[in-house]
Amino acid sequence: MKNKGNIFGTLLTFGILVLLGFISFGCAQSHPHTKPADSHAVIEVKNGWVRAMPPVAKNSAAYMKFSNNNASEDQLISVSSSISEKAEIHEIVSIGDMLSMRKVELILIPAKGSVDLKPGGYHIMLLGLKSPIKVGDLVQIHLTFEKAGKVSVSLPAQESAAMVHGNHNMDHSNSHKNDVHSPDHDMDNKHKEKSEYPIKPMDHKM
Amino acid sequence: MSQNRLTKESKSNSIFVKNLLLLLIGILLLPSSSWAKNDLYDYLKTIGGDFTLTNHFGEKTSLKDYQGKTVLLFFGYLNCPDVCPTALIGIKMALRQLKDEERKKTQVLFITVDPDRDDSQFMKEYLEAFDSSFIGLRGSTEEIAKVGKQYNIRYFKEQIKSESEYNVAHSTTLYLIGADGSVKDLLSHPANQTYLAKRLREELNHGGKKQSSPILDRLKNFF
Repeated sequence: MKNKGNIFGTLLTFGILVLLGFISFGCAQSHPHTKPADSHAVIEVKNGWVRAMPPVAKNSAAYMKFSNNNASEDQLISVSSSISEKAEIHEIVSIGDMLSMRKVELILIPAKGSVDLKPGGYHIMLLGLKSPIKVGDLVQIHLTFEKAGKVSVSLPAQESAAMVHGNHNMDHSNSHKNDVHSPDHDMDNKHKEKSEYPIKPMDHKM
Repeated sequence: MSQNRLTKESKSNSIFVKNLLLLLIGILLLPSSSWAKNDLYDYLKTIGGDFTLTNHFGEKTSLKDYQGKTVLLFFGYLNCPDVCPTALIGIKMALRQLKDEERKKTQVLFITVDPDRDDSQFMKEYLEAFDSSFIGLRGSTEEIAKVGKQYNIRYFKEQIKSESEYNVAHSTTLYLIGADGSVKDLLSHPANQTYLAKRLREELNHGGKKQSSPILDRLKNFF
């Protein structure tokens, strides 16, 4: 407090300013943005691809990135595709040096945030392929979001992520954690490791 | 007053610089210290060894049959839609970075941890779609378990819905085995293709004699 020791009037003015600041900050917090109606909630689906597999393979997986530009979170709640008997939302988790795959009920897409479905993380598991998926095929995946509703995407089949992510500097095959980008820093801790989370600057106390 | 603050600041600055220097010296010493080198190589001496399983042509195959070649060994299962294809594609891409004669001296072996579902024909057709030189190996549950123990891998069935519907959680380490049949290095999943190609080339050309610090290599790999 640099104003300490100054005349009473200055202190009073400063106090009022601080108070006003708090009040306006409080207002801003309670009305962050003009909230779009749910009917306008849109989830952008980008960089999608399906893994081309050997013709004898029984399963495959689809990967993509969800971006949520809305002020409220959304959830991917169901998936389907006519290419396979079943489609499920799966996640790869590590148990020591083992990798394990499990079904998850939903994927949370944070407000103003994004989620990457990519090898080693979340994916849409296509169980019991009805026909082989070859490089260059287009595979339709139907997604249902809690707020954004139904979205269908046609994804190219390829061997690995490298082809669609060519514009990224990062070697995608080398990162196997879910990237959840969110302004909310209290997201699931396990997703923070190796993700592209902005590193919080240290408090510089001089 | 301002002068006082300046000296205070410069004092705390010099302490900061000193600490930083000590830290840097520490970091520089770290990779060359003996524990960094010995830890991995000591461990590598305790794992691996010869084994005999059945290849995807139905023939008995031992690791020693590939003596003189550099072997990449991976454990997985064919119903795996994410980890195993990612590993196999990564290996395929790494092999593409090698010269023909280097590739001829390299053998990829894939041991299934799911012998109940992965029969010889399935393995053959599956692996050949990635690379016709890849060899799939299977055996009885006990035979696989024995090899798994030798290489210190773990796996178990999970999410079991029925006798034929389940996942297998499994170790994903990629083993780099030298021409003498001993484990030379471990690569964690998913192996960086360029780094894998470099390690293969080192192994092929120097016979594993040039053993630089694996920690230092990993650091280089990061930057």
